[in-house]
Amino acid sequence: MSETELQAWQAQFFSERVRVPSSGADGVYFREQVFGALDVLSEALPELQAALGEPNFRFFVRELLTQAQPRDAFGTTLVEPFLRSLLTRPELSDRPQQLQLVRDSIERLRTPHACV
Amino acid sequence: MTARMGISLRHDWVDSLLTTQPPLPALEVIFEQWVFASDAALGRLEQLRERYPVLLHCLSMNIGSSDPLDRHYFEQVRVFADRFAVSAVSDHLSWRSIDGVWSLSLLPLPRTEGTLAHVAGRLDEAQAFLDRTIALENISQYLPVPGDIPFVDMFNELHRRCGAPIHLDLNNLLVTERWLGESPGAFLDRLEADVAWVHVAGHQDVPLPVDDHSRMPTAACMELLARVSPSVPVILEWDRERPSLRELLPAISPEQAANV
Repeated sequence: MSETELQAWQAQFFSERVRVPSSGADGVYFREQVFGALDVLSEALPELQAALGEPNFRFFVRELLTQAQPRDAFGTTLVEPFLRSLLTRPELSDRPQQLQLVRDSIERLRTPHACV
Repeated sequence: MTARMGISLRHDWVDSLLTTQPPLPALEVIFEQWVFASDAALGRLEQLRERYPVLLHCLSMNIGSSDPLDRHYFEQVRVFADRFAVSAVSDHLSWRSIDGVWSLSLLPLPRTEGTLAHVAGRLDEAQAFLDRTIALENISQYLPVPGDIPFVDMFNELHRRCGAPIHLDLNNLLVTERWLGESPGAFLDRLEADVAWVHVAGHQDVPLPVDDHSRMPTAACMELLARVSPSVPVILEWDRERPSLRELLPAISPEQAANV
């Protein structure tokens, strides 16, 4: 991912929340897939939510991710850039432990857990 | 509702299920929700597996696509299915990608002989790889598709050619009826394929229905369910505006509520 692309992700991340389309057309199954991929963050997720100050973090992330187009069956092509954008968030800069968990999560995206 | 109804598992219900262990007949697990889960989360799922039969529902087999089947994906499904000794596996009669770009939705296929031949070939390959039959779910359809083969005959024929049962989603039939005018009753009248399991759900009308799994199943959905053999497992799906398990189970069955 280029620096420009990464910045585009970051710009979206704390932008105004996208309203759920009244048509509901974002797709319930895809939402579950995004949440599943986000579970790569595992036990780090609640702390990240708190640190980023977004009480509806999962909802917000789903809205962000559904604006992009995946290029793989697992959805990792969506989630990995998002995780990389977390590494640059100022809210997390003094939390080395959480940042390491994010780095570990990026690594784990390459090896889906079920095959371990 | 009915004591024969299990639920499609969501993460926020796991702890409550482990604590209360209500007498649900089965749990459905969505593969994509667990493939990146932590060891601790998978351990909790194993505890649930000890208590409940598990049906594995997948979103990304991409059976109808013209892109190559993703062997890496199927390998993960196979390992997961073995680890959790799942009772059955399903995905959708649909496609999701073209030239490697994936849609956010499950897309409908033309109802033609060409489609049947294409899907049958891929289904044979996928089933051989998983060493399991793959039940195919009827998706909600909002627009007409090319072809003149009745939708139900797509499933009948894939069952005849590949041994694949249908994963029958009754709410999807009702949603499709409102958009395309296709009768759910006629679908069930003509259905010959074995039924692996049934999905029920409720939907919003905005003003036409969208399959958002946001309500209890409608009376019409439960009337259709009465036409399905009582030996077939039934799974309730709920995604939007999801209640807690404590709120949900009494609505499904008083027997189950007594244990929460």
